[in-house]
Amino acid sequence: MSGNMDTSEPAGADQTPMEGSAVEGATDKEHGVLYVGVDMGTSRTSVSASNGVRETLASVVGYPKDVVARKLLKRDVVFGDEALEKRLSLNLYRPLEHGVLKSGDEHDGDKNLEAANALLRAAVAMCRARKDELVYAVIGVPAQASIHNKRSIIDVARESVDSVMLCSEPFAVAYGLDMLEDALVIDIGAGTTDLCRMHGTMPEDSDQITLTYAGDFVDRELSAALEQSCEGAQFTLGMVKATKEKYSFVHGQEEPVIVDFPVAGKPQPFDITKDLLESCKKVVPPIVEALGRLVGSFDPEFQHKLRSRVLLAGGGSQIRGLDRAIEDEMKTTLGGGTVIRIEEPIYGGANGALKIAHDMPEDFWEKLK
Amino acid sequence: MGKLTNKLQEAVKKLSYSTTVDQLKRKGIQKVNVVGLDRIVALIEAAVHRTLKARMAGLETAEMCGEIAGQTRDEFLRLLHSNESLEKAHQEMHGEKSALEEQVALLRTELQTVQGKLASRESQLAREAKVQAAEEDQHLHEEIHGLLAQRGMDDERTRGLVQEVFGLVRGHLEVERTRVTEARRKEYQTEVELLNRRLAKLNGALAATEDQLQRVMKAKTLHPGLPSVYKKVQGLDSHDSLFAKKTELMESIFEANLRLRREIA
Ligand SMILES: Nc1ncnc2c1ncn2[C@@H]1O[C@H](COP(=O)(O)OP(=O)(O)O)[C@@H](O)[C@H]1O
Repeated sequence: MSGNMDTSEPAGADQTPMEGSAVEGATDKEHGVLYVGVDMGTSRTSVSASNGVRETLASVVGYPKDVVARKLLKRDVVFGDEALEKRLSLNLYRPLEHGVLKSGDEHDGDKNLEAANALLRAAVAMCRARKDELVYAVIGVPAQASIHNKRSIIDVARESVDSVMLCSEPFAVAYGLDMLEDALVIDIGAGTTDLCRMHGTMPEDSDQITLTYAGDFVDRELSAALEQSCEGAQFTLGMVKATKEKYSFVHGQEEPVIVDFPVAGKPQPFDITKDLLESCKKVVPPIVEALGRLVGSFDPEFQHKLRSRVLLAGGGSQIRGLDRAIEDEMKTTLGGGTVIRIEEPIYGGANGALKIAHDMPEDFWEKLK
Repeated sequence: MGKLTNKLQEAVKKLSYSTTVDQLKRKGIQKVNVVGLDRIVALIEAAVHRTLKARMAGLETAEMCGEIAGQTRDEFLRLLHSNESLEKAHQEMHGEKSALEEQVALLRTELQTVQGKLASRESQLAREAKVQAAEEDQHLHEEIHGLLAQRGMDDERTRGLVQEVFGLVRGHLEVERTRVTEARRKEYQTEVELLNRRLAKLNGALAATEDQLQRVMKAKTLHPGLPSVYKKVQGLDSHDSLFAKKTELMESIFEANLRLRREIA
């Protein structure tokens, strides 16, 4: 993808050159418009803004478990990867997942909403907007986000930005690449893989398929396989996930993948090449099967075009050789196809949302203020 | 822009952090790209020039260029300066805070030792007073008894009288004793109070410094923000090759959002 198009040469005729008065710090918001694209994924939240900021954090919010933990952390709330690191002293929430991961009280849906609020606030803060600029945000949310979640996102966003719109995340990815027609997006996240058919208008429910063959699925499969083959090895799902993120492949691996796992407390090398390959490969057939369904129910005249423009996005798409493996599977079951890997799988959604924000006319923003 | 270059170099230095090869290795980093400070400064300068040039298209009077370059430099220096002075205030405050903390800690130990000493002295005195009082009582009892015996009143009948007189005198004695103890206690209580007052004052100063420090830190994190490249709402470029399609999409996104707002209202 062409990266963050909005930070390149400012296009458009309205671009006012730096005026003398713009240098003085004025407080009214007449000195700029900051567009913000947010991708609120179940596992990561990323932002991309028209001031060049690009940031990402794990969609995790942690609250200290007790007074001691709070004293130690010196904060009331901890975000992202830091929250994961310090999870032992925190109650963790993944506000975009259904339900609660870990908490003292099992019935605290409110706490989950509060966590969603905190996460979005942190995401917007990362954009480092100037006080004197209008902030217009488009937030890409998972296709399956509940209305409850959407309301919470809008409520919080309105506190920190001037106007906000939501859109479906895979749609944002495609828009960011100008693939508005006859294209298929495969967005592989942690909990779900979202497939979305683009045909020139806003995708409807029938254009989207959500599968659970995604990152977490691979982690579980790999963990089960390793338990069988690496006798005596001690590992957690977290270790398996980290290993996957470092070595995963489905194609083009020539050297064996050797990793150390502790056996009775002592690290020992294990060859996990075969287990890794097989676990990663398992996502391919169900994804291609779903692709087949989206292609098959499309106008026959354009099915060929659709097959030839399959976009691969999302953190889980970073498995090496996955584009090739999907193409191979498409060849056998669908008679061919071309898979295009997007350049920045992590920022694909945020960059697309940013582009939508840029292209949205002023009166629409005004009406949603 | 020679002065600016120096300042830039300083600024970049401040922005960088130190790490060791071991630390990098632990993070799994095997290779690093090294960029010299000069190079970074040159890059920033080049970027400033390029931006200026791009923005100057159409109004290239040298005068204007100079003015804007000047303004940019001033703004940059102002930001740098405010950052520097904040940094300085921050450091000073930190120094002040640790000095105060040290003093408070010192005073606390002093107070503790004095309190400990006083407590043990007090209990010792109490013990001594008790023994002394018992001796005195015994003596008093004997004396009363002796006095009455001298007058030939040493028999069964006077025993009750001895007790009565003894009780009366002892009561008065007890009042006197308490007064003496109280006076003595007050003496060291004053000492403790003085120490306590000093401690409270220092604690107050510490809290104030902590407050100030927090404010300075907040000011430091109060980033002025990064300006957007846009001055106005953009909207779709009418030259976009997908203009019609995108217009339609923008409308449907907007309408979907409008519906959502109604649903959750
Ligand atoms: N290098 C990698 N190789 C394979 N999988 C990866 C890699 N990096 C991240 N992932 C996986 O991507 C998933 C998260 O993708 P992401 O798009 O951030 O999720 P979401 O859209 O659900 O927030 C996780 O399962 C993670 O393990």
